[in-house]
Amino acid sequence: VTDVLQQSLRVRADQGASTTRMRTRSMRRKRSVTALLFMVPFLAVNAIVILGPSVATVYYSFTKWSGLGTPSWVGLRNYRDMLTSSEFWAAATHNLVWTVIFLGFSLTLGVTGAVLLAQVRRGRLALRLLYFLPYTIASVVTASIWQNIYDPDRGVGRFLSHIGIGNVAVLGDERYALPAVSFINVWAFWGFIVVVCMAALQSVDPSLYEAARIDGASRWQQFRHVTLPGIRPTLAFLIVITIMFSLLVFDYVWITTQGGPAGATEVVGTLLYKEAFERFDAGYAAALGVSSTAVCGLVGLLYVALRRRGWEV
Amino acid sequence: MTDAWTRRKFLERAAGTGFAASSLSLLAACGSSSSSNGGATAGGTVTQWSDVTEAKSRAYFNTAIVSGFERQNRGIKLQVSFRRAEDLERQTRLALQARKAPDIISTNGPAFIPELADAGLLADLSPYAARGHWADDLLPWAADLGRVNGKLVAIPTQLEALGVYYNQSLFDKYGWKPPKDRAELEALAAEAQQRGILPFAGGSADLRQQIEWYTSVFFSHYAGPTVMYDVLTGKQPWTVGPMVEAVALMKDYFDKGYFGGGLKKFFATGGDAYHAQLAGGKAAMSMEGTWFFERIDTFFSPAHAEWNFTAFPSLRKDVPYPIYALGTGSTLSVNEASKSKDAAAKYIEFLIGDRKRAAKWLADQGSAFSYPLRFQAGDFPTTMDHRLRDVYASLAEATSNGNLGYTNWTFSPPRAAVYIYEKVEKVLTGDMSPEDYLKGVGETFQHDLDAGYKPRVPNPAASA
Repeated sequence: VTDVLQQSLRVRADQGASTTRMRTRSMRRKRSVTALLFMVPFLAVNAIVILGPSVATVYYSFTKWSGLGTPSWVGLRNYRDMLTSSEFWAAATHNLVWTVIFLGFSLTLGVTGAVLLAQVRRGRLALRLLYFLPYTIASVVTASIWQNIYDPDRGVGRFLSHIGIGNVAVLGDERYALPAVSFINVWAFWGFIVVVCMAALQSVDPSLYEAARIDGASRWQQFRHVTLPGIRPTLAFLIVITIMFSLLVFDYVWITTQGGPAGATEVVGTLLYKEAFERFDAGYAAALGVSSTAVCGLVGLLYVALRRRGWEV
Repeated sequence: MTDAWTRRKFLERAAGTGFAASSLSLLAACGSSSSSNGGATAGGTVTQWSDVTEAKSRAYFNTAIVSGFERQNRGIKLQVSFRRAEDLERQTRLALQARKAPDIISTNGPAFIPELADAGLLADLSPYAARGHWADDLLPWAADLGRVNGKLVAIPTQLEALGVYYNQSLFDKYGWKPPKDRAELEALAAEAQQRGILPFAGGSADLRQQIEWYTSVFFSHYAGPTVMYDVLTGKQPWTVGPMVEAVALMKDYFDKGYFGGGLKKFFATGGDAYHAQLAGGKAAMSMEGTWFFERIDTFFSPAHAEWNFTAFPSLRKDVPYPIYALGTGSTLSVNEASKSKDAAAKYIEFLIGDRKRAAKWLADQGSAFSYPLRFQAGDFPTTMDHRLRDVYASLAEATSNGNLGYTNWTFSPPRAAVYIYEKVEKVLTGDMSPEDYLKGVGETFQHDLDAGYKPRVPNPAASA
C-alpha cells in the first residue's frame, strides 16, 4: 500500500512539476511575445531607416552610380579604386591622426578632470554642469565659435600679432589645421568623459583607497593601482566610442575647413561627401561608407571579443 | 523740390508708360498664343525650390515674380520654397531619385544638365522655346547651353561675371585708376602694399571652392578666350603653354600676398571679414562676381565709402580688354514627371520673355534676378544704380565682341570642376607643380568626357 501511495504521490508530484514547468514556459513565451510586440514598431522603424538603406548602400558600393538613374554592376572595382587611391589613404591617415589627438586629449583631460572634481566638496554639481555644457552645444555652433577664436584678424591671430608673432592663420596653415580642428572636437567632448568617469569613480570601493593609504601608497600610486583598475570597463567603453567617433568624423571638419587647406584636413567622411555630392560618384562614395562602417564594426567586435575572453574591459 | 518734371523726364516717363502698356498687351498676346499652341490649357500648380538667399530678395521674389506671374496666368498657382544655395543641388538630386522633385528643376549650371537629361528626368522645352521665340531673348552664348542631343532641356539663369570691385573712395584719395593690364596691376599692387593696404581682399574660409574664381580669372585673362575655348572643346591639351603660365602667375601673385595678404590668411578668412576690409579701406580691390552687387551696400554704407566695379585686367599682351569670365549660377528645367509641364514652361517664359521686365527686376534687386538676356541700355530703368547699368551694358558689349571668359562652375564638367578648385590649393602651397596640376585636370576632364559630360562652350569667334 505504501509503495502504491508513494508511487501515486510521485506521479502527482511529477505532474505538478510538469504543469508548473509548462506554466512557467508558457508565461515566458507570453512575455517574450509581448516584449517582441512592443519592439515591433522600433524594429520596423530601424528596418526602414537603418537596415534598408544599409543593404542598399552595400549594393550601391558594387555599382557605378551617379546618384541618379539606374546603377550598373561593377563588382569590386570601387573597392579596388579606393585601396589604390592616394586621396583615400591620405584621408584615412588624417582619421588616424584625429583618433590619436581626440582619444589622447579627451581621455587625459576627461579622467584628470573627473579625478580632480571628485575631490571638490563645494560647487561640484555646478562645475560638472560647466564641463558638460560644451557637449550640449550643437556642433555647428561650437565650430563657428572656434572659427572665430582661430581667426587670423579677430581671434588668436590678432592676439599673437599684438605680442609680436604676426601672420598666424591656424586654419589656413597645412601644419596646424588638422590638430586645430580635432581640438575643437576634444573641447566639445571631454566634459562628457568627465561626467561618465565621475559616475564610474563613485562605484570604486572607498575601503580600497583606505587600504592603499595604510600601505603607504602615494596619490599617484592610488590613482594607478586603485582608480584606473576600478574604472577600467568604463574607460574601455569610452575608448571604443571615441575611436568610432574619430573614424566617422565629418561635421567639425566640414564646417571649419571643408577638408582644406590643400587637403590637410580631409578625412574619409568629407571625402565621401565630396564623392557623392560634388563628383557625383555615389557608388564609390558607398564603398567608402561601407569600409568606414566595417572598420568601426571591427573595433566594436574586438571590444566584445576581449570581454568574452575574460578581459576586464 | 529737386525732382522737377522736365520735358525730357516727362517724355521718358510717357515712353515708359507706353512701353509698359504695349508690353502688357504683347505679353497677353504671347500668353494666349502659347496656351493655344500648347495643345492643352496650362493650369494647375507649379512648384519651385529657389536658392535666393537674402530676405529682401525673397520678399521681392514673392511680390514681383510669384504674384506677377499668377496675375498674368489666371488658373496657375506658383509655389516657391526657399532653400540654402549650398543644399539645393543635393536636395534636388535626392528628390529626383525619389520622384518627389518640384516641377521646376534648378541645377548649379549647364555642366550638370546632360546627366539629368540622359536619365530622362528633364522635359523637352524645344516646342515651347520655338513657339515663344526664346532664342530671340537670350544672349546667343546662353541660348544653347541647355541643349542636349538636340533638345532644349534647360535655360541658364543668373547671369554672372567675374570682375574687380574696388573702393572708389580709396582710389580717389590716392589718385589711383583701375588697372587695365598686367603692368598697371602690378604697379598698383606694389604701391598699395607700400602703404600697408592689401591689393585684393579675399578669402575662402566660408567656401573652399571660392578659389575657382581665381582659376577662372587667370585662365580667362591670361590664357585668353581662344585658348580656353580650344582647351574646353578638347582641341588643345590643358597643359598648353599659356595655361601653365596662367597657373604659375596665379601662384606668384598669391606668394606676393596680392590676395588676402598671403595664402594662409586667404585660406582662413571668411567673406564678411574680407568684404569689411574692402569697404573699410584696408584693401583696395576684391576679385568677385556680379552676385556681390546684392550685398555690397551692407558693407559700404556703414563704412561711408563708395565702391565701383570693373573688368579684371588683361594679363597677357594677346588677350583683349575688357573680358568677363562668364557664368550662370543656375539653370531652370521642367521636371519630366511634372503634371503641370505647360504651366511650368509658361513660368520659364515669364522669367525670360520680357527684357524690360527682367531689367527692372535686375535694377530693383541686383544679381539675384539677372537673366542672360540681350539687354540694351534702354531696357534698364533710369532709376537704376548707374554702376550696375554700366556693368551690364559693358558685359553685353564685351561678350558680343567675343571677349568672354569661362567660369569653372559653368563650363567645366563636374569631376574636372572639383579637381580644378581642390588641387589648385596644392599648387599654391607648393605641393604640386602647375604642369602636374594641369595634367591631372586634363585626365579628369577626359574622364568626364568619357562619362558623357561634354561641356557646352560658346565660341568667342562666333560671338564676335
